[in-house]
Order: sequence, then structure tokens, then C-alpha cells
Amino acid sequence: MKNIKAFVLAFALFLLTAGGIHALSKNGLPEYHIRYGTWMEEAKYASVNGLKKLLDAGQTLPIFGSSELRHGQNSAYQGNHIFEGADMKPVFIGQAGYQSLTHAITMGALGESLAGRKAVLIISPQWFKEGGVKQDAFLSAFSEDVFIEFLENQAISKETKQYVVNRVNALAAGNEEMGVRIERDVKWYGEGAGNPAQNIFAQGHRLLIKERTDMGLFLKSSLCGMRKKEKQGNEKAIDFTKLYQDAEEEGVQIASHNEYGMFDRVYERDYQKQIESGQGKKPRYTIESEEYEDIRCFLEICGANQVEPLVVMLPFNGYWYDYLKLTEEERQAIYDKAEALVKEFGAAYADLSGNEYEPYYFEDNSHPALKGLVDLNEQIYDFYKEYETK
Amino acid sequence: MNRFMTFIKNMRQNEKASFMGTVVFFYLIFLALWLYFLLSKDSAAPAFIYEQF
Repeated sequence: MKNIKAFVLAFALFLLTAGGIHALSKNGLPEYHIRYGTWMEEAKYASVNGLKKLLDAGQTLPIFGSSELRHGQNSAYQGNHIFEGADMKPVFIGQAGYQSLTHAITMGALGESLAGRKAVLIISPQWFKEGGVKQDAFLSAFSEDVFIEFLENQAISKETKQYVVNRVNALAAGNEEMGVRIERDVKWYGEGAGNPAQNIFAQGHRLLIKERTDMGLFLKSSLCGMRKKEKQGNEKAIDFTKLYQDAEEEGVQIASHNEYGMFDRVYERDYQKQIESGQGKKPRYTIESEEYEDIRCFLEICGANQVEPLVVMLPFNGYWYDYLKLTEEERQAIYDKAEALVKEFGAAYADLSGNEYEPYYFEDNSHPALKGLVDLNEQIYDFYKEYETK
Repeated sequence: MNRFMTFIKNMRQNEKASFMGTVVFFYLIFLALWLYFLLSKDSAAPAFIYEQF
């Protein structure tokens, strides 16, 4: 009897705690500051409410990308430093493994909140594997909250939604639990599902998912100190010429003792042995990659929601891919097909592919650093400023 | 260690303290389960192990 009493009392205390934290988190999702905007954290990308609140701050620009958003965050040349105190507030969405399909779903979920605004999609040429995004990468980045909001976006055509559902189903094949979830979500919230508000199970499930993602973001952002309000100006002028000079000077110090255009320490640590022993096989990047259709889907969703995108094409590291015998022609074909696709939609395109052999442009075999990051961020900033003057 | 064991022993002998200990025990279990539910990944997929291209 005593144990039952203790159990009941503990449960009541727990309900009080959970209720209190729920009430706190309801209005406690973090507000924009540069550290939070450029924070690389799955909980941030998984919560639609969190992303909407972040993007609601004035002067924000969503930047969809992958691992290049994290690389260089400790240097002076990544967006988290360049835009600190400036009149553009970057919101990084994505990390290693995030590709066009995940971004298309997120774009669809944010939908109307981005209408009439701009967004950036940074494409890595390494995304163009035969099947596009890898199954484990996609499923790991999957957020049910985002997927449900995407399914409920009325602005997106039935065909585009069906394309996404087919791709998601194909990628979830072999993962029974994910398959069940996706099937249920499509049935409850997709085309022809009727009004989810009339389905008590659909409503309950939705509430549960929101609670989980929002509370998850609240707790993780609190634990990582992202909820601290940070004062920041919005007047800092960005001197890209000076940044290029600084990047070049730093490059001479840290990236001029190898023939592969990388940081010396990265070359010595990860590539030197491989090269000296002749290891490494030709990667299977192809113009037949499904990634192109995923990019098309992203652009269609932008169009449906009146979002104006800038697509940035990052370059291959020419020295490294020459070593792997992926020829210049093969690389150019990958760039060309992406450019043609983007132009088909009349979207802005920043082509950085001409920098394959540019010194001090890469950290390793793929990620931009130093001048590469300055170039990338200058393209993004120019695009944002065009928007402002319109 | 001895002090700790004596403390536990004393607590067990004290009815109120024993009751509060049980309450705290259950409370922590609820809290751990709840935090696990909230902080575990919103995906049934195995974690993606990033590898260089």
C-alpha cells in the first residue's frame, strides 16, 4: 500500500514537472541570434515551430546545405562569423547527409511562412551518386513533424507530393517501423485523407509529435545555451576584399605544402598515405543520378510557395578528383546538367565550379575553406542584398 | 562507503525517509522515461555515420 501511495505521489510530481516544462517550452523556443541560427543540430531542423520562429525574425535567410555548413565554423570565413552583427541573418538548415529530398520536404513544411522570400540551396557535386541520397542518411534526417506539415501544405501539387511519397517509401524500404509511420502519415494527412481535424487519432498523433519535437528542441537548446538572448547589431559592413586577403595569407601558412589544394594537416592526416600507396577508386557520380529529380522537386516546391531560390553549385576539388580519375569532362557534365535544370525554373544560380584548382579554396577533398568559404558567403550575401533592394 | 551504508540503513529504519526515498525513486524513473522519449531521435533509422566522400 505504501508503495502504491509513493507511486501515485511520484506520478503526480512528474505530471507537475512535465506540465511546467511544457508551459515553459510553449513560448520558450529560442529566438534568433547568430549562434542559434548557425547551430548544427537535428532537433533544430526537426521542429517546424522552431524553424518558423527562427525565420520569423527580420532579415533572416534560410540556407539549405550539408556538411559544408559545419566545416570552417571555427574560422573567420564561415557564415557564423562573417554575418555576426551584419544586416543578414543566416539560418543554417542541414548537416552531413542532408540532400535535396530532405530539403524539399522541409521547404514544403515551411511553405507559406517563406512566401515572397528567398532561400539558398547549396549543392555539393558529391550528391550525384546513382541513387541520390543514401538510405541511412535520409532516414536519419527524417522528421515526422516536418513530413506531416509537408503533406498538409495545400500549395504543393498532388504530383509533387506523390513524387516525394514514392521516394520516401523507396528509401524506407527494409525499415519496417519507418514504413508503417510513413504509410500512416500519408493516410492521415496526405492527399485525399479528409480533414485530419475530424480524425481523433490523427489529431492526437499530431499533438504528440509536436510535443516531442518542440520539447526536444527546447531541452536541447537549453542544455546547449542557445536560449540565452544575445545582443547583436545589424550594421556591420562586410569587407569581402579584406576577407579574401586574410584567407589567402592564412592559406599560405596552412595549405601550401601539398599538391592537392587542401589544408596541410588534413592532407597529412587523411590523404597522404592513401596517395602514396596509390589507393582510392573512381567515385560513381553520374548525370543519371536521382538527385537531379530531387532538386527539381525542391525547385517545384519553391515555386508553389512563391519562394525565390538561389542554387549554389560547389566545385569538386580538381586535384583530388584528377587523382581519382574522375575526368574534367565527367565533372563538367554533372555541373552542366544541374545548371540546365536550375535555369529551366528561371532560378538564380551561383556557379562556383570554376574554382576546382583555385588555391586556398578547400579544406579537404570536398569542403570549401578559406577563399572557398568567402566566395560562397559573398554569393549568398549578394543574392540577399538584391532581395532587399527590390 | 561505511558512512553511505549507515545512511541507507538509517533511512530504511525511518518510515518517512523510506517513503520519500521510494517517491524519489519512482519520480526519477518517470523523468528518465519521459526524457528518453523527448530526446531520442525522431526516426526509427539507425544513426547515420558520416563518411568522407
